[in-house]
Amino acid sequence: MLDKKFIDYVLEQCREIGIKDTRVYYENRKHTYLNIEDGETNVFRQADEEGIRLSGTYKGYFCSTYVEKLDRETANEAIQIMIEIAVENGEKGKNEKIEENRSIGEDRKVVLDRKYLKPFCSIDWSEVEKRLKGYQEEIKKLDKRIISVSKTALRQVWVQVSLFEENGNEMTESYEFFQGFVSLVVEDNGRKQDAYASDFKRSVEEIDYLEIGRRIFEEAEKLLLVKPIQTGDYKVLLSNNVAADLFSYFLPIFKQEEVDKGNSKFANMQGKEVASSVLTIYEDPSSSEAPVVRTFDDEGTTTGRKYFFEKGKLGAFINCSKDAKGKVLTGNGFCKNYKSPIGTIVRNTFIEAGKRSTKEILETEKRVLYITGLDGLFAGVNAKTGDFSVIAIGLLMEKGQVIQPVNQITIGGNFYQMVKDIKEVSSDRWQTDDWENYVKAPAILIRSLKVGGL
Amino acid sequence: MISKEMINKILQTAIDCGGDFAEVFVENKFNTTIIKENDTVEQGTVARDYGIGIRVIKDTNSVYTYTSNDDENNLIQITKQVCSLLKKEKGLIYKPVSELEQSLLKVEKEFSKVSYKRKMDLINQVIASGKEYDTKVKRMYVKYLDQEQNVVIANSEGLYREDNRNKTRMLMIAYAQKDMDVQSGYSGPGAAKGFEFYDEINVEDYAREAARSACAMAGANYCKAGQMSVVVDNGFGGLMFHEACGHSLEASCVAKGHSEFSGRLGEKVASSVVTLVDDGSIPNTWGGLSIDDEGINTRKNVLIENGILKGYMIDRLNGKIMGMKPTGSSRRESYQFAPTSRMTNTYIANGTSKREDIIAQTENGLFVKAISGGSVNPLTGAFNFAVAEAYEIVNGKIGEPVKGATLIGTGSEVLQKVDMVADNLRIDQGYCYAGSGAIFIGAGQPTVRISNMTVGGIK
Repeated sequence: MLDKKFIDYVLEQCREIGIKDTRVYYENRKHTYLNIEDGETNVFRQADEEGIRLSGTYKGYFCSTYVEKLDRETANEAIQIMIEIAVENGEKGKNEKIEENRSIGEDRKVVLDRKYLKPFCSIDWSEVEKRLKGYQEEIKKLDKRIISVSKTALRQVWVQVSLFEENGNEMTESYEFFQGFVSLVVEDNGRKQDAYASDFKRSVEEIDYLEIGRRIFEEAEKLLLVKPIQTGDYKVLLSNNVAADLFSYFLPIFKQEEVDKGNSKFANMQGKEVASSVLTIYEDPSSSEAPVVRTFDDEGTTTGRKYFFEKGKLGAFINCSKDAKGKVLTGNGFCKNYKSPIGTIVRNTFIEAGKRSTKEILETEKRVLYITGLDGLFAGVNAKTGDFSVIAIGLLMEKGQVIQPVNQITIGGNFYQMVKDIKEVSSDRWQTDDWENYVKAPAILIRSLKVGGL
Repeated sequence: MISKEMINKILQTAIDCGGDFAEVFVENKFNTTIIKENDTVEQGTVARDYGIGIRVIKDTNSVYTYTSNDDENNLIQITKQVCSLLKKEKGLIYKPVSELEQSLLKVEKEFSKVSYKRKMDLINQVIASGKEYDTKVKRMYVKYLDQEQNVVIANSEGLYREDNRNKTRMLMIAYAQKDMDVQSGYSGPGAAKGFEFYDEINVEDYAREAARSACAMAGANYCKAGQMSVVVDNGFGGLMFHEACGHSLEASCVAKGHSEFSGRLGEKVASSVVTLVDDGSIPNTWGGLSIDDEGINTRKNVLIENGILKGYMIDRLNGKIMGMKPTGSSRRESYQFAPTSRMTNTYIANGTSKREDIIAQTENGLFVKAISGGSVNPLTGAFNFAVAEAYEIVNGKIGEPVKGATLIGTGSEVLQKVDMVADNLRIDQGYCYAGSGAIFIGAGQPTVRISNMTVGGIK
C-alpha cells in the first residue's frame, strides 16, 4: 500500500543531496495464480509486491536506481549509491522540462488532474477453485482421447502506477485483468499431442474455458499423425495466434533508438510503401482492448495511437525522452517493472482484420501450409536483420482439406520481404499470451516461405 | 534478514493452516548491472534486492507467496492468506529450526568493495579491444553483472542453512558489418567468484573472440535447409543437449508423465557414446552452487551413462510424486519464485575421438562453432536452437561460413544419432528461462557429431 510519507521523504532526501528533476515511479502489483491439474489444485501463488524507481539529474548527469525494501535506511543507501555512480555513467541530464513534454496523447494537465485508481477486485478463490475443477471435468469429457488436462488456470493481475515529481505533480492510474489458461494432452494409438491457449478478460465470468478447451482439442486432434514434409518453398497461412507471436518479435524495428543504431531497415522510409497494402498495424498503450491500459507512460508523457503500417505505408517510430531528440514524444517510455530502467517499449499492438475468415481463406487456397504453432522464436528470430528460422507445426492443406499434419519442420524467411509478400489477412483475430508484449493479429497468408524438412 | 523466531512463527502458521511441509527462503542480494554499447551507458544500476518467499506443501500440491515487507504481521497474514485453500488438519508434525548451518564462502575481492569506476574501466577495455579487432566491427555491446547474494533457507523438518553466493559475468556481443549485412558474435565468461575472476582471465581475448565470430559471419551466405550430418564444436554447443534432453530429465516434467523420458529408467535412450551429467557441485562455476534452493547439498548427477538412462534431476515436491529422493537440483531465480528441479552445469562427458578426426570423417554437413539459444517441448521432445556461427563441411574439411541456420529434432532421436564424441570437453556459461525463473547455467560438451538432423534455413 502506497505510503505517501515515505515518497515525500525520498523526494526530500533527493532535494537535500542535490538531485534535480527528481521523479519517483511507484508500482504496486497484486497477482494471484491458481492452477488445477487433472482434478487437483496443484499450484496457488499469491503476492502483493511494491517498489519504487528513482530518477533525476546530479551535477548534470542522469541517475537512476530502484528500492525494493521500502524503508528509510534502504532508500538512503540507494540514493547515496545513485549519486556516486552518476558521473561515471556519463549520461547527460535532459534539458526538457517535464511539464513541457510534447506528446501525441491527451493534454498532460487533463491526465494530471484525473488520478484514476480502479480498486482491486477481491474474489473468493475457493469458489474459483470449484469452478475451475468443474470446467476441467467438462473439458475432459469433450473426447475420450483427452488423457490429461494439465492446466485449467486463472491469473488475476492488478497494477497501480503512480508518478511523483519534485514540483508536486502526481499521476496515478491502475488496471486489472484476468487471464484464463487451458492446456491438454491428446493421445491416440500411442501418439501424443499437446495444445495450449489462454485468453484475457476484465472479469472471471467472461472467460469461456470450455470454448478454449474445444478449440485447442480440435487443433491437437488434427496433429496426432504429424510427420515432416519435404524441404522447399511453400505458400503459408500463419494462424492468428502464430502471426501474433511472430510479429511480436519484430516490433523493436519500429523503435527510434533501433533506427538510430542502424538496426532497422525502415530508416528514412516513412510514408513509403514497404509492405502489402492489406497490412495495417497500430500500437496504442491506452487501448482498453488490451489487458494493460496506460494513459501516461512512466515518464509522465500521455499515450495514444500510432500507426506502424497504414495500408502498407510505413508510419511512426516510437520513442521515449532519451531518444526522441526533439521529436514529438510518442508516450512509449516504460520500465518493465520498478527494477528496470525506462526505455522505449512497445505496448498493445493491433494488426487490423481483413474480410474473410481463416476457414474461408483455407477453402479457396489450392495448396497451403497452415502453421498452427511456432517455437524457438527467442533464438530463431533476428530482429536486426529481419531473418527468422523457427520450428513449426501445422497442416498441409488443399482447398480446406487436411492432406498431412506436419511437425519437425522449420519455416524461414526475412521479415522485410515477408510483409511485402502478404496476400491476405483474415477477419478473425487472436492474441499473444504475453500481456506485457501484447499483439492481436489475424491469420496471415504469405505467398512463399522456405520450409526446412526432409 | 529475519530472525529465527520469526521464521519459526511462519513455519508454525503454515503447518497450523494445513500444510504438511513449509519452507521459508530469505534473500538479500547486492548487485551491479552495467550495460554499455560503444560510448553509451544504456543501464548502470547498483541496488539491493530483498525479500522472503514462503512455500507450503500439502500432499503433492503447493502454495507460494512472497514479499519484501518483513513486518511480522505482514508475514503471518500472507502465510494465512495463501494457505486459505488448504484443508486444515490436526496433528501435523513440525520441527522448529534451531542451529543455523552456514556455508559462507569468502572471495578475495568483494564486489561491493571494488569501485564502480574499476568495473567501468574493464568494460571500456572490452569495447576497445573488440572494435580494434577489425574495421568491420562497428559496435560492441557489453553487459556486466555481479552479485553478492545471501540466502537463508529454513523448513519445517528443521533444516536451517545460510549460503553466500558471489557470481559475475561479462556478456560481450560484437556487431560486424560487411556491405549491408550486419552479424553478431558473442562470448560470455562468468564464474562463482569475486572480482578476482577478472585478474584470472584476459577479457580482451574474449572481446576479440566475439569480434572474430561476428566478422566470420558478416557477409556469409545463407545456410541451406534440409537434412545433414552436424558436427557441434565443444563448449556452449552443449546447450543442444540442455534443450534436447536436459529439460525432459527435470522431475518437474518427468513426475507427471509430461516427458518423453518418464518411466524409462534403465532403458537405452541414447547411443553408447553418450554420457550426460548434471553437476552443481563443481566449485566456482557460473552454474554451480554449494547448496540448492531447498537447502540440499548439490552433487554430480549422472543422467545418462553410455546411453542408458540412469537418473533424473529431482526436487523435493516432484520427488514426493515419484517416490524418489531429491538430488540437490532445486533452483529458483529469486525469492519471487517457488523452486523446482532445474539444471546446473550440464555436459556430455569426454569420449575417445579426436576433434580433427570427427571433421575429417564427415563427408558433407554442417560445422557448428557456436550456438545462441533454443527451447524444447518436453512432452514430445521437439527441440530447436539457433546457430550463431557455422560453416559448411565439404569432403571432410571446414568450408565457407553460413548464417541463419536452425537445428531441430526430438531429444530421443538426436541422442540416438550421436555417433562420435571427442575428448575436449569445455563448459561455458549461459542462462535458462523456465518455470522457476531465469537462472545461471553451465552448458558444455566435447566436439560431437550427430549423424543426421534437420537444419532449418532461409535458402
